[in-house]
Amino acid sequence: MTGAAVESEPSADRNRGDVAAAAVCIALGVAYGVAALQLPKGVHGQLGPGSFPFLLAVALVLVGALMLVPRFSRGLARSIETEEGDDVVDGAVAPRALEVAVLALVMLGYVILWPFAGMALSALLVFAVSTYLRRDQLVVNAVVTLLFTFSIIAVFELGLGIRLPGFSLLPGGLQ
Amino acid sequence: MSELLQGFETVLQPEYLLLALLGAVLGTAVGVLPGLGPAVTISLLLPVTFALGDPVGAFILFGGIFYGGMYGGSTTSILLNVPGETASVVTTIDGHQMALRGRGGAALMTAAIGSFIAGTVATLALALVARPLVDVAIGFGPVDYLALMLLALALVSALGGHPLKSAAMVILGLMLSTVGIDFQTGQERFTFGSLRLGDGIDFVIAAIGLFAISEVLISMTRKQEDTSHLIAAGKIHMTAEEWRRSAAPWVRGSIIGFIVGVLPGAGASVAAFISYGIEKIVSPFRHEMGKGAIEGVAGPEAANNASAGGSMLPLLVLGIPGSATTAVMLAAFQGYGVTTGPLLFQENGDLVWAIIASLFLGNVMLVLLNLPLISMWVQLLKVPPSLLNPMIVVISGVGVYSLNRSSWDLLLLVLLGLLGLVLRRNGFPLAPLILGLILGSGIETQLRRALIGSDGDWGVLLSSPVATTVMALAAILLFAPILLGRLGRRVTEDSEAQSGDDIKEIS
Repeated sequence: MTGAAVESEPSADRNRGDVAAAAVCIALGVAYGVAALQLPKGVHGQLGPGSFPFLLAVALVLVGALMLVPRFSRGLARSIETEEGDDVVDGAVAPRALEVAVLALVMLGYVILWPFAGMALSALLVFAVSTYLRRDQLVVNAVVTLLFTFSIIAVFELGLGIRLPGFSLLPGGLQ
Repeated sequence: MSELLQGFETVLQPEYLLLALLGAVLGTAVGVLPGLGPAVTISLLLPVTFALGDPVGAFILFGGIFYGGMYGGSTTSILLNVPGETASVVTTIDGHQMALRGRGGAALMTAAIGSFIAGTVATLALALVARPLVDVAIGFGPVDYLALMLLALALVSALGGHPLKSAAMVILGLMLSTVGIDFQTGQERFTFGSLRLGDGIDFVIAAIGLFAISEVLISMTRKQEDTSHLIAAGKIHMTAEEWRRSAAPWVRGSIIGFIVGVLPGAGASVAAFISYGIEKIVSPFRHEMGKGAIEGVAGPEAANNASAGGSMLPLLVLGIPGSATTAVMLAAFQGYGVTTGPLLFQENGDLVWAIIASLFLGNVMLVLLNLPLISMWVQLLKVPPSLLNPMIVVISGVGVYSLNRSSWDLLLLVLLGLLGLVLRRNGFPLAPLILGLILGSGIETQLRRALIGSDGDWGVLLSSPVATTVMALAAILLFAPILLGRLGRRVTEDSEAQSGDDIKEIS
């Protein structure tokens, strides 16, 4: 395989990505615009609740359409990042789809588990998956995670008086 | 001046000194750790500070974190060739070369001293310029504010990594700001009949979900930074020649950084890149740039710190944030029921001047903390992400839950985190989304006020000289990427070439 062929693959991926992003923008803009049209538009001089959203929908569709024009999409792309734009550079962040699905389940599990099993156990779930994915050491980190979690519970419950769901250090114990 | 002295009087109380120190330590730590930044840290701490109920203390803490993040970012750039903050990306070019040549200590010292000088200059400029600007801003009408907010969003789009994607994110943020009950008519918008969405999407939850949770999710799938090629800082010492060569870049970087920081959307990274570009043009040692020239560290590091001070100006005087960090700080002001803008100086003068005084104090603390403790900060890189990730999730979860004691908020947090992951995975920046979300209601309000005042005549948007000028500027700046792209690409190419050389040397 030639070098040029190797280089063209990421470029093709990027083009496909730009087209997909444009399609999502246009679809989202159209859907949001249709929903905005259901809202009152207001009378002369007074914008109704649907007017501003409709303007936004038009703007998003326009931006999506511009993304489909390669000259705009590629010619304007640069590598200078915004201040907190640690996430701007294309391709810098690319977890696999399966990992994303697993992480989504883990995070939802964290939210669902918390009110029943308490924060310490749900934090351990996140810790276990993180350790597994990163192949990091287990025992010491697990102990530190638990100690940290109980410290945070203590700060919020005993320090700030906020009762957390699940296991509680405040009078009443396990809810 | 007497107001500033009163600010110092407030800040010098023991509990506030402690908070300033805590902010400086936390800020430096998050600056050192790649991925975490001041915006994430401040958003994580928002619920805790709300519970404590002391706005002065909270903002003193946040100021320390903001400046500290800029200080800490340079350490890993120089010693590891891994920028802790995006604002320190450009520092890797010459900073790491200096470290490879055994001048890591000098690079760290010029970065720290430059940051101190720039931070002090920027805070002084903030203190001097704020009051006159307030007098001007008091005369602003709805159209002027609308134009300024649109300028902020245009700049964020124009200066983002991919302007069209940044623009899409700005619009998405504005769309999210319309979710909930319309404040003027009481009409529900985009709530899908859910009462929980009636109050809209809480900015704090959005910031924590989009920044912190998405960072955790990405970190779980990312290989840990290899610290095996960490270079010892050596003696923290600069020669007389290095002092002489650093002086002018510190001054230039301070001025550039403050001016760029004042512009909404430009931010610390752009300030650092411009400073580096200018040093490449004006420095007598420009032929050494890219090979370990101290000017390549001194200028950008001064610029990124000065921009932090500069970015406080539009936030405090106009109530318009120009970056994700200042957007989170604006949310904090709103959380405390404090309205930023020209009236802030009249209604909450004590708070404002205490914040400004705390920035001076934080700067002194940071330079004292950073130089002798460099080796300690570097140890933070050894904290495994499998430990750091659950900690962030725990703080995020508890913080968000404490806002409304609602499990629904936790679900929203996770959903926004997943949205952040998907967006980042596809190269969409999150800072414009956050800015759109926070400015959305203000833009809609000012637009409505302007049109009511003009009886529906859209021509009112260009009726004021300030608004017309600002809108024209916004339109021009939307094309800035084409003009600035050359400078950015050149610096990036240098950086990439440099990284390539480093890899060869290591292998």
